[in-house]
Amino acid sequence: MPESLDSRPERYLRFSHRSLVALFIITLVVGGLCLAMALRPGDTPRWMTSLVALLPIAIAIGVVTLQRTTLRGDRWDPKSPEVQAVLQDEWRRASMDRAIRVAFFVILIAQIPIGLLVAPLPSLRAVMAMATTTLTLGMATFLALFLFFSRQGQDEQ
Amino acid sequence: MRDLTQAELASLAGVTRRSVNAIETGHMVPSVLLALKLAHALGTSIDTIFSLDDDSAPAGF
Repeated sequence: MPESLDSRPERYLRFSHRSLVALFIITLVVGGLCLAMALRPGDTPRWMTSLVALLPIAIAIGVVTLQRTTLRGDRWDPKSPEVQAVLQDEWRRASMDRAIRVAFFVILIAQIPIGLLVAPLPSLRAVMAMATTTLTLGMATFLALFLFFSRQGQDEQ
Repeated sequence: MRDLTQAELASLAGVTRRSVNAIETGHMVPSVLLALKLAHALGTSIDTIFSLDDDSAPAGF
């Protein structure tokens, strides 16, 4: 691997990217579980509620594994110049702004179909389902678009 | 103008290689601060590396 693609800033960038992919998956899993609980509170299988309890342990194991495999012994220190370069990177910020704008419009447009879908439910469950769906959809759209935009044209010369 | 790799230029300007690449390929227009940092890192002035195109929009170097 060329030196420039395996330098410390590149490793921090990869760590940030993989963490966001993991967050995207967690968002979908947690959102799906919460939606299932909101839609059918009495019928939620036992394994699903157990999964929610195991989630913090899975996240901790995931973070340690990511650090070991991606950072190779380095620490994610927010004060270090390399991490600052990643966090304050203009391309990253521009991608984030674009993703936020599109996700906001997706949420706005999705309110009508979501409202129609949850309309037959009792009011409390309908509100919970709508809130869960909106949050999950918004987060998932934002993360997916951010990952897509931030990788666009990255190795074009 | 100094001869630097994208990674070296990114390191000197305090951004990632992706930002430098996005500017070079015309996917992003940098802020004034980043343009100044890039010019400083390359040992030249902003107008040497950035210019206006026919539509008066800033173009990448």
